[in-house]
Amino acid sequence: MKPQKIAPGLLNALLDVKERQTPALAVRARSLAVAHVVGSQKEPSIPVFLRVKEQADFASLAKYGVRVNETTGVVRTAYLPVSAIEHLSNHSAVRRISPSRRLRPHLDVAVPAVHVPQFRTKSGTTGIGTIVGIVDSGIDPNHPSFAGRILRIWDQTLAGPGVTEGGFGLELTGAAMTASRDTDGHGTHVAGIASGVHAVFGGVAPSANIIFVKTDFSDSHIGSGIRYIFRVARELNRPAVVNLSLGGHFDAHDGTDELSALIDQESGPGRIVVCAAGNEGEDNIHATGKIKKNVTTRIRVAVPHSNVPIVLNGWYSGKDRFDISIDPPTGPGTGFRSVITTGNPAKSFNLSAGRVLVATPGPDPVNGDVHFQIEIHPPRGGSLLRSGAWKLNVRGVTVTNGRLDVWATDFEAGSSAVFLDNMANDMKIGSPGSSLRAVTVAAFTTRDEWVDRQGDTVAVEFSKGDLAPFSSPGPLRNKVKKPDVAAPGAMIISALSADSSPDDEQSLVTDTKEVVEAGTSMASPFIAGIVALLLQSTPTMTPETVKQRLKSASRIPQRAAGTFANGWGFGLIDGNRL
Amino acid sequence: MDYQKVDGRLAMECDNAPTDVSKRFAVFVRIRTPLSEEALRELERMHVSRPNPTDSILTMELSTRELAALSDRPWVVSIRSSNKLRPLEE
Repeated sequence: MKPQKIAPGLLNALLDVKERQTPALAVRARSLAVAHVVGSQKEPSIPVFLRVKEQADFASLAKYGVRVNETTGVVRTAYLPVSAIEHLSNHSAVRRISPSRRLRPHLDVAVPAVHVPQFRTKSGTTGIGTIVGIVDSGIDPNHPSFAGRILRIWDQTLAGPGVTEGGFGLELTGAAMTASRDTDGHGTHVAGIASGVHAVFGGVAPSANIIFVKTDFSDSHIGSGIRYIFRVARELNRPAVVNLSLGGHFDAHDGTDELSALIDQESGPGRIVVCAAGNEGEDNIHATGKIKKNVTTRIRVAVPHSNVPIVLNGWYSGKDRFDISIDPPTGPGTGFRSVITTGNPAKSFNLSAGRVLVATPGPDPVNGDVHFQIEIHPPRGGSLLRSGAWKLNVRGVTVTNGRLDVWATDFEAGSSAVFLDNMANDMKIGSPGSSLRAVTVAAFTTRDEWVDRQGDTVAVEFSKGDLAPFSSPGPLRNKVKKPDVAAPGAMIISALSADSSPDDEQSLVTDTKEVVEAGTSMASPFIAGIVALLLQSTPTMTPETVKQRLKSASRIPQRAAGTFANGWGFGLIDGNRL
Repeated sequence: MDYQKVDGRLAMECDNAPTDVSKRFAVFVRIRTPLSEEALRELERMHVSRPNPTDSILTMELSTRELAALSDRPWVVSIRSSNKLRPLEE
């Protein structure tokens, strides 16, 4: 027998059965779902869960009475006599044997952990009369968590005449909202956190109304979505908070990009935007260096074997001028490109390793800094990027400041390319989290394990009670303090869209309408829900006052009040201090 | 066309297909406010709704021909292509 493969509860049962036979099972009949215990000649059998190798074949165990219900899959169920557990554990394809148990729903821990119920009771607020606006992957219009509270959906992905803010997509109300679906599941989960109704996994502002914009995540369309939500809220004479659980790294990381600036313009009394900080806390997506005159600094970036183009987004002071080039892992590169202030500053290079676009325009008209952008596409006639270490070369021409910051991203706003040199674990909050008037939210871990639908305890490596390691740290490139506060972002149980399929079946919980997720995506709507509660009491609260209230109610554990840290912001929100 | 007002990606698209009207690009256009009536009429011809007087950042979809024309307007500060962001679940 291989006892290390057997769950402790079953091991105890086996030991007891060896010593006491049938009476040992009788006492466990209910907890182990034992069948045929009393007065039966047949050996008692029990149902179990198995974790096995994908194509495992258990035909050889049939002679011991083992019946495995599935023929494929890594999680299976089986029915077998207790005495056969030993043979099952000896099978090389078996990784784990767990008992099948009666399940109980777990109370969510996130909402009580930061004393939201206490704040709701103290303030008498539920979000009624406010609007929670969400720009995201969609919302399940039939989910019971939102019944009767979704006012409108602007589905930007459906063909239609659009709205005032953009002539594309379809605006849906009433029964027609079922034409819009959330096949991804992200938006529904986010909406549940901010404003879901559920006896166990309820959201922060369960009485708020919802206006949803289903987007294709193009940032100009997101900007239009924000404007749409605030316009409708104005027409309805209601305060609104817009949640943006999305981001990227194509911008200057100082709040001057177009989407961040649009948010700053649209924000005002009773019009608040909340953004997720980003999930690149453990990814080497930011490199920095001190460039010297006539000296070339070489920064390597690891590019994967993929068909998704890579983007290197570089920024430096307008008082400096650097020459830029990029070399592939092998073969010739682009040669140096200087800042070009007349004519087309962009040039395309057809290298054997890839098609490279280098743009080196003059100073940015908004922030006065110099920006260069390098795109690495698969080579002409090829489908995949040349993987390996590409080299970004930066040579000082005019140097007064000398500081260089570069971010690596890709056309899906992911972090598939990472730096191998000059890595810096700061300034990883991009647009729209870099918006100065938005509340930017880091993620805190309130739960590190849960019981899934199969009865197995699933654990993650995040440290409960600490900042989530993936949460992107600030500050901004211009030293502005970001993020603002932290909120629960791992592991969060919230609404599951019926049209989505969670990647990992482990994430389904006992209630088949909820799913476990993690990310600053989950932390942001937490704060959005709190903002809705604040707006119920004071409908004309300004973004600055909202930020001050949240900051005053937050603390970094074991640090003095008002302390700021790049990862935490001003700390974890506490409803008892609001 | 004023290349200094458009990003590298748009600049290359305009160079490759300057008169193409079939392909449209989602963009941010930064402008100087307030806009003149002439500028507002030009935007309406591009099917852009009349913006609020204080909006200095507009969102729209343009062909390369419209991009090139708009870049030459003195009331246009910059034109930047829209990027795809991503949801922030881990």
